[in-house]
Amino acid sequence: MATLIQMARDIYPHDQVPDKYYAIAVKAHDEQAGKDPAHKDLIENGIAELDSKSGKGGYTSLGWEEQRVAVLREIEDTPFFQAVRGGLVVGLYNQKEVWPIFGYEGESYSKGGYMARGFDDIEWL
Amino acid sequence: MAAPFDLTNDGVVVMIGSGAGGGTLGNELAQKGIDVVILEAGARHEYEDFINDEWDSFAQLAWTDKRTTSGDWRVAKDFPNLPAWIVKAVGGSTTHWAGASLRFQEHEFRTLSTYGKLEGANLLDWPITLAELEPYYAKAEDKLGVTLTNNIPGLPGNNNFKVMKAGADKLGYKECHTGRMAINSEPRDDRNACQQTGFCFQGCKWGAKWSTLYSEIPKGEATGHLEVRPNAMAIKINHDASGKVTGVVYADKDGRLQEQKARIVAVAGNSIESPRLLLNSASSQFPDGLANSSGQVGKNYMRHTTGSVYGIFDKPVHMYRGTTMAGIIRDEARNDPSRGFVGGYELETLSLGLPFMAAFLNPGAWGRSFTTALDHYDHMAGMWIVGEDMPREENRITLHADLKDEHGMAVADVHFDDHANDTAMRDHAYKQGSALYAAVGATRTFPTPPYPSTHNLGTNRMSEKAADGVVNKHGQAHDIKNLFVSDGSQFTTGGAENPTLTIVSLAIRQADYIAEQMSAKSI
Ligand SMILES: Cc1cc2nc3c(=O)[nH]c(=O)nc-3n(C[C@H](O)[C@H](O)[C@H](O)COP(=O)(O)OP(=O)(O)OC[C@H]3O[C@@H](n4cnc5c(N)ncnc54)[C@H](O)[C@@H]3O)c2cc1C
Ligand code: SF4
Repeated sequence: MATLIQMARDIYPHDQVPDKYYAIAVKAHDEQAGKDPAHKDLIENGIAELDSKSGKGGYTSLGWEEQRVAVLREIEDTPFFQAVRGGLVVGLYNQKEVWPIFGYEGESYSKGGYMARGFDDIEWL
Repeated sequence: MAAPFDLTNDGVVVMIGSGAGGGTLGNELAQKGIDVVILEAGARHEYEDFINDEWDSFAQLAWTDKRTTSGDWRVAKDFPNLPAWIVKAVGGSTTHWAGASLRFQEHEFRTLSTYGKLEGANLLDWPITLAELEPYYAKAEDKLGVTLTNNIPGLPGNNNFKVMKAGADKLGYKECHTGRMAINSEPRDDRNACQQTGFCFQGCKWGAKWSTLYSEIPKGEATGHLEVRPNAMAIKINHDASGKVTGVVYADKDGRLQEQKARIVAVAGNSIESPRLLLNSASSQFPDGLANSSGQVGKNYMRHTTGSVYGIFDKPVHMYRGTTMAGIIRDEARNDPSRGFVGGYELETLSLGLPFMAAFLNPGAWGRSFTTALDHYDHMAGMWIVGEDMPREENRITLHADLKDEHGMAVADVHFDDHANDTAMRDHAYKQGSALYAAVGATRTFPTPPYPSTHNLGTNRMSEKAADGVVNKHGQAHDIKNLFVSDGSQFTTGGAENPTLTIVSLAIRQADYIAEQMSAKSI
């Protein structure tokens, strides 16, 4: 799990987003692996490969993001990498709790839209 | 009262699809006292049920049945099973549409004459002119309540528009305004005024934007001459020995096959499904599919030359607040080959929420170059490019050789390769869009690739001669008198403008023609 979370952060690094949201985003793979042996193999073998390509201490022991990204570049065309990256697009960015961190306000109908809430409040132009 | 019609009633006009084309035609005919059954593959969700959430709304309304892709367009790589972003629901894509409602320009009905023969492009003049369509454009603008027509005030500019306008002024563009939008700036025609909610692409929960779902269809139903049958997926159009169509076989909500008899059939399933249905209706008499003696059914698929430009600024914009597409620059829409391409393009404001931005900004990209863009989401402004693309015979809808849907109907494959003219136009638009934002102080801009196609056109095109296309200038099949095409698939060429106003105008015109022909007993 720790490796997967680190990998998720290195794929879509947002320094202002706490680990727990990355953990929620990759948890789906855990759940799917529980039900689907093929998916379990995909994830487990993928992590093993990532660790072995990263040298003695494994992926998480690489101290700089650039070092880890270099390893990810080597495997970016693999089904494992694509499964993790693809899952994050919705798994990470579709968490409503994450939206405010990016300044996205989400649902607005119940608040009467933005008619009286700044649809045209830009001042710096 | 909504009129339920009997399956064996062979006096009805059957429409396939309840979107811009089918929904409008259905209401127009019902107003004339003609009995209509609209078969709609999707479910009926009223506008109160729409969801202010991108993925949830997509799941509620979008067409997600399997399709395949091929060709060199990037969509085929990024979204191999999602060539198009269109809707499967009562109202069709007029639930998700943004409302931009522009007339074609005069020369866009005469592209072969104006642009000349272009290598690799199957250009053809429309069999109608702008002058012929003008009265119908006027009716359509009134029906849709298009802003800046019929004395309807424009929408107020939101933040995203203000950035566009400031940049347009700096670049010396002359025609930049909040657009001609089928969105109420004030209450009209039983529709509310826009509340600047910012979820136009998810269905307007205020009903401020025109949609056949709550504008045309209830009006048609009120006449007692219109029935919309949801969850009814047309699979095959039947014909008799004389070659006239006689009814439509469809799968009902329980997956059971039914046949609705018909006097006339009008196909309006949007430009992927309409040719799919005609091809799937092949018989011993019509081995290449219905209305296909020209071999043009499914060909000349167009999707507009699109792309987006997003810019990041050092101060906040909040582009997602307010109307998604109420902002346009028309200066580049002219035909001016000195720019290195024929035809032109519009620039229109566009915003995506964070979830769709993550999916569409640069599909497949990862790492800091990508994520630092999203980090400044609330400092972003965005615009969409929509320009004329070249019809190509190779760009086409075909029936997949092996893959079938849940009803056993072959799925559609969508093949698309950009023409060199499309690429040159897109590059020009990227440059202009980036320059515009840079002129207002953007610190970074993003030439964003096309999304899955929201505009799908041309696959049953209109032509003067039967050998060049599928339907005549009334959308009537050259080969079969009582078979019509009523959606954007009848477009001979695509123009630079968003297509729906033209689809609606053609449908109003077609209704007049069908009514005339029916009373003359010629169909
Ligand atoms: C996000 C988005 C934004 C857009 N913005 C604009 C805009 O600003 N301006 C503009 O002009 N256009 C816009 N469009 C495009 C516009 O929505 C379409 O041009 C228009 O709705 C097409 O009309 P149509 O009748 O051809 O098809 P649709 O409106 O797509 O309707 C087709 C209907 O047919 C049904 N159907 C298909 N096959 C079958 C079958 N076999 N049996 C039964 N039913 C079937 C479908 O379920 C669907 O409901 C936008 C589209 C999208 C998705
Ligand atoms: S911005 Fe206006 S038109 Fe768009 S969804 Fe909101 S109320 Fe409807």
